[in-house]
This record gives sequence, structure tokens and C-alpha cells, in this order.
Amino acid sequence: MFSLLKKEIQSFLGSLIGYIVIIVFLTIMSLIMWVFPSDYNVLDNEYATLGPLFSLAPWVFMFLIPSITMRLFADENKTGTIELLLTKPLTDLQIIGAKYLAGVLLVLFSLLPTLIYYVVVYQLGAPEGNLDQGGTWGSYLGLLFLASGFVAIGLFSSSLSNNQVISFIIAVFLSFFTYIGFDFISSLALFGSFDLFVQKLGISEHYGSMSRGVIDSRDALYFLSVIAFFFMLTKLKLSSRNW
Amino acid sequence: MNKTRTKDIIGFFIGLGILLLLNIISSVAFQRFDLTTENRYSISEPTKQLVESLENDVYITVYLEGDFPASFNGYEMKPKKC
Repeated sequence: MFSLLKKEIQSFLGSLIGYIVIIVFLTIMSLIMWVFPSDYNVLDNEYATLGPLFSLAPWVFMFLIPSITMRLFADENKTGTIELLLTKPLTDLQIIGAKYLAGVLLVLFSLLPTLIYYVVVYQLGAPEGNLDQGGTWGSYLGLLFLASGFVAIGLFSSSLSNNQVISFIIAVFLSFFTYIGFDFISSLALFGSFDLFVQKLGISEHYGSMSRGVIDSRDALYFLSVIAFFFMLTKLKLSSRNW
Repeated sequence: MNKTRTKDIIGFFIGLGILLLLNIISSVAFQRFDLTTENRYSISEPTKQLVESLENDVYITVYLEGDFPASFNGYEMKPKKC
């Protein structure tokens, strides 16, 4: 399993994909947070907070994470190396797990440099260090949960097709839908008293409270369930070869 | 071959059931950690005591809407979120 994980990470960092994803993520975030004048500009907002990072990052991840994950299975399906991989003495779950971990690690690499923002805001605060440290770390945890959910969605989409573009588009759609789609459905007020339940199926409801720095065991379990759900779907798709 | 299919699908639904069960259990037994330094998103003990001691209904009117400089937008949004 670890050799597969190592191979996946090497193929990210050995090709341009990994670097491009990290560079594009940081460029977009830095421009919006520090350069462009908008509501998300930290310097204009006059608050020592990293809030803009946590409200913007989900939208950027929605496009970047599918572009990391799209090749994980689709490429193997296309070149046929999936057959080779499946004959190795690995269970399906180990293969999925290794590919999943590789995706999460790459996301982690792209988040690490944002700690520079943390240091900058920490030092710009008046008085210095006037930054809600506990809250910020809580928000980072929330963002990590969200990103790992997106990776699981992307991994499943990748297993559906042997075309990377198709799996990219499916992943963006699924991520968008699980992030905010349930909110839209519940705002239509179709189900009466079930509207609140429908809203709670969506990620944004749970991410919203986590990104403020409030860690709730229900939210954490929700994210783990989303990951487990897409793991199971991926496993079902993989095992469908024996049907 | 049809046998493995039924087995896989049943396994999937069992997993789904376990997930649902876990979430239902956790919605009853949960723990909340407010990591913000001043516990901004938790109701403080004095507030609870104050609300308990109230006898009449309380109406709150917030006069805060319109074109503000960016630094006020945060204030404008916060009551709306409640």
C-alpha cells in the first residue's frame, strides 16, 4: 500500500500537475486576499482575521481538487494498468486508500504555505498577536475536513470513467452539489418540515460552523461519513468488474 | 457471478445503514468545542441566568443596513446569521 502511495505522490510531484495546482491555488488566494480590492481583502477589512481564506478556499478547492483526483483511476482505466494494479496482492480498499491519501497529502502541501498568511495577520494585528488563535486552528481543521471530503468525491468520479475530462466535470458537479446544492433545494421549501434535514445533508451547513472555529462532534462525524460514503461507492464501482 | 453482485450491493447498503445509525446516535450524544478565545459562539452563563429571570417578551431592533465601508460589513452580516 505504501509503495502505491509513494508512486502516486511521485507521479504528482514528478509531473507538472502537483506544482501547478499548488501554485494556482496560492496565486488565486493571495491575489484575492491581499491585492484585489473586495470584501475578501484582509487589509481593507481592518480585522485581524483569516476569515476570507476559509470562505474562499472551498470555492477554489471545488475546481482544483477534481483536477488532482481526475487522473487517479481514469488514467489507469484508459491505459489498462488498472488490471495490473488489481492483480497485485492488495485489497480494493487498500488501493482506494492509497490513492485517496496521495490526494489528501497534495492538498495538505498546498495548504501549508497559507501558514504565511497566519504569521502575517498575527503580526499586523494591533496589538501584535491580536488574532484568534484557537478559532483559526479550528477553522483550519474544518477546511481540512472539507478538502478531504472533496478528494473522496473526486476519487469516486475518477473511477467512473476512463476519460479524465469527464471525471473532472463529474467531480466538480458533485462537489458543488454536496457543498451548496442541498442548501438551494431546502430554500425551495419543497419538503415542509424536512427542509432542515435536507439542508443538513449539505457540506456548507457543517462547514459554516466549523470555519468559525467551533468544532462539533456532529460536524466531524458528518465529514467522516461523507468520506466513507464515497469510499463505499468507489469500492462498489471497482468490484463491479467481477459482476 | 450474480452472487458476488448481490453480495457487494448488500454490503454497500449495510455500510450505508451503519453510517446513518452513527449519525443519528451522534445527533443525540454530541460534544461541542468552541475554540475561539472568548467563546464567541457559545451562550455564556450570565446570559442564561439573565434570560431565565426575564418575565416579558423581548424585542430586539437592529438599525444596521445600507452602504457601509468594508470594515462595517462584518457587523451588518452578523445579526443576519443569527
